[in-house]
Amino acid sequence: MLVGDIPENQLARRLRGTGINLSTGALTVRIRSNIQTFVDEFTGIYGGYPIEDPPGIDDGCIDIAFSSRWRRYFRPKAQAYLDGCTYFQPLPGRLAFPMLESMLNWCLAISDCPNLLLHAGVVERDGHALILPAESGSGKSTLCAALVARGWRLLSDEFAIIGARDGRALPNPRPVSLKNESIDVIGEFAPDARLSRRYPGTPKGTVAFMRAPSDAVARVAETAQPALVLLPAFSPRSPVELDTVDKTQGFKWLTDQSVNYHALLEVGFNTLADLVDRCPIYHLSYSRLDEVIERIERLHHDAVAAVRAA
Amino acid sequence: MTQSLPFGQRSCASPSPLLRALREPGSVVELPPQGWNTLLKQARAYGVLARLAVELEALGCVSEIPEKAKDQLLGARQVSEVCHTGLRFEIGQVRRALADLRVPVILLKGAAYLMAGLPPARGRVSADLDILVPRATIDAVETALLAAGWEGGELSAYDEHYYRAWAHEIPPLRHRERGGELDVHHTILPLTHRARPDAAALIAASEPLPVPGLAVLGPADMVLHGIAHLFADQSLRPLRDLVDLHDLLEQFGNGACFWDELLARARLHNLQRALYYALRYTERILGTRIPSEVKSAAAAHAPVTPVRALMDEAVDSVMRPTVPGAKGRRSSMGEFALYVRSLWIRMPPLLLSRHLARQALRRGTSRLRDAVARE
Amino acid sequence: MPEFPDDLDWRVGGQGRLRYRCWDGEYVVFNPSSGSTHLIGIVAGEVLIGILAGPVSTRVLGERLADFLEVENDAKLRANLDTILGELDQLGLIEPAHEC
Repeated sequence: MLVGDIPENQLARRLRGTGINLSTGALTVRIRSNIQTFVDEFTGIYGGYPIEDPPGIDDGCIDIAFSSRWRRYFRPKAQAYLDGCTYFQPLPGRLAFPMLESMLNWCLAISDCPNLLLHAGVVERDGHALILPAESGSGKSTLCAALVARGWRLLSDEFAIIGARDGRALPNPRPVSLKNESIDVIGEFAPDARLSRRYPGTPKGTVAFMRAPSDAVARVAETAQPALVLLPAFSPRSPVELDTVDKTQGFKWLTDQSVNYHALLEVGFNTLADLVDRCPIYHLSYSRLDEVIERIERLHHDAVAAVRAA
Repeated sequence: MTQSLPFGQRSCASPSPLLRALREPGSVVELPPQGWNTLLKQARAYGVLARLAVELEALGCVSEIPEKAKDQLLGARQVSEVCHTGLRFEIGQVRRALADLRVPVILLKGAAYLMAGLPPARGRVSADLDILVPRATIDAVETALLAAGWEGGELSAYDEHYYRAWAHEIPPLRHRERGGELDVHHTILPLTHRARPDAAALIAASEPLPVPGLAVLGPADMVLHGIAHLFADQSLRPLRDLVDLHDLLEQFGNGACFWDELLARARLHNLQRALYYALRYTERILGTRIPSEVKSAAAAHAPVTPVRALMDEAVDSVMRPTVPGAKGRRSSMGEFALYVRSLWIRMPPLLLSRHLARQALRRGTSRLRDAVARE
Repeated sequence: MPEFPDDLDWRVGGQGRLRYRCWDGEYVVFNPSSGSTHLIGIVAGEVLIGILAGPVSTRVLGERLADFLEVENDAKLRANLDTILGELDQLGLIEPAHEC
């Protein structure tokens, strides 16, 4: 059953009561909320996602709730809980949906995942994955959204999950989170992209979410062999510039972007070393999306050819 | 991370599957999915998920566990293995750094359990390294460690003074290259504590490990150290610490003279009241097997009934998990009471208000810093 | 500056099962007995790899390093070698072989 199959009033009742178990690929999370605006926005974005019914064992229980009873009426503040614990400051109730997105990321980050987690966007074409690791603000999500708008399959916007067993990238397709100027950039670049409403006033500024295409959600079980790693940096008015990154430096950089490299011990080392062995790594600075996308498509094409030849 | 009362938790309240799983690990294979949800969240919140994983593996029933639960159990066990790897390595480095001093290095708590192969080592998720050395050698030990790359952190003048004047250890050290925190103790309770364990006797009765230069406390002293930590010092994970005591008592309890030795050493170290509490609550909560004559001997040091009733309530609310993944308001009150009580026992009254005020102030400052960092 | 005796044998610490990759002359080394990963330059990496196969004395390491760098095995080289050995030791990757 999909989230969107449940009639709206029933969904609201379930979210207020025992919750629903949402599956995003890597995680199944029980979600509950008593905030009415949250229910509408949640359905808008996650309508095409499967729910587990009857609910089984979950990877975490996320509650998005008004922080106290009277807060519901007076300057409503919402709090997000993961298994009863809070990790973030409460925010105005109108930001309940972005709070869910933060908590879903957090839930994966602290989940004792047996696979390597890298802070990175991942998209796929021709059966091979492109990994875009980056700090916030580098334009990683913008690139991710633009590539998806051009027909690449979205595996993940926030965490690359590299299988410890086979080194393949595991999908966890969730909405791509766009911040500030990049919302308009994507709006212009891809007028057909399905964007959520804007949420001004989050700790990261104004955010909006691009829905994961239904194809990406449907192909959640299809893993992809990584072929290329690009470290993007948005740099105003600069032409596309490409710099090869030394493998040792790339390795170090990727360990810094990993949330669980150290917890995996030798498995983590082998998984990451294989990835670095296999994939060329470049620094990529850019300013214009159409120009950089074209360059990325050529690079990826060559990288895939090299993998196939090997 | 802060804990708080989550929305809708009323619907999850149920008797604790965690205590049942700790007493009879094999019973978990019959749990329905919602029972697993409660158990996994409770075990994680109370720091015993990895221990449960190791026990289930030892029982050979992992294959009967649902996939999702297995993932979480094995993930937690992996974290514990990382801690063990780091700890074993740091113990080796400390041993090397102190080898020339020819000082007996006595491992405490997690390090002792790990190197002596004792059951509380199963699934521990702490990599803290605590050692005990004779007080007379502490300056030489500190100098040797500093020379080998350990460093003291930056402490406020107040903290530095507190450690040097009142604590049972020197300020924590951290290795320059490798991280890894090291606590060097010269006794097992703060000097301000009413009970003054006999540090010389602890060292004299310590038992060497097969690895040269390392030792652990004798069985009775090891148990009493755990007890002192839980009931007289400030325990951060009281249920986990109680489970450790249960494991040690079950391990040593079959030894010929263990229980007599335990009573005698409790007298020597002036920890008879704490021993009474420990035996009472391990038995009540975890079903530890304790000979009845030992219980009656320990009961001679029970507090007056109203105090015991208060303590029962405080311990129950701290130890008995009520809500999946969250400690309710009641238990955090209980925890706080236990915390104040442990400080009260440890310090002369005038010091108490000062230390508490400082800690409250620091907590406030760190919260402010977090808020600023988030912007 | 540590000065190690000529006949001091060095070995890899712990279980001696270091995992490493060498890319363009630089080494990434994982130490299973500490769980730590280290980035090591070409010269220190060459010294470390020389110790992997079994205990080697400071003198032999000096001779091999001089061959590798194609320089004189003189006091300057030896001082550099001592520094490298001291650092690898501090990282917990190697230790004198006589310690048990």
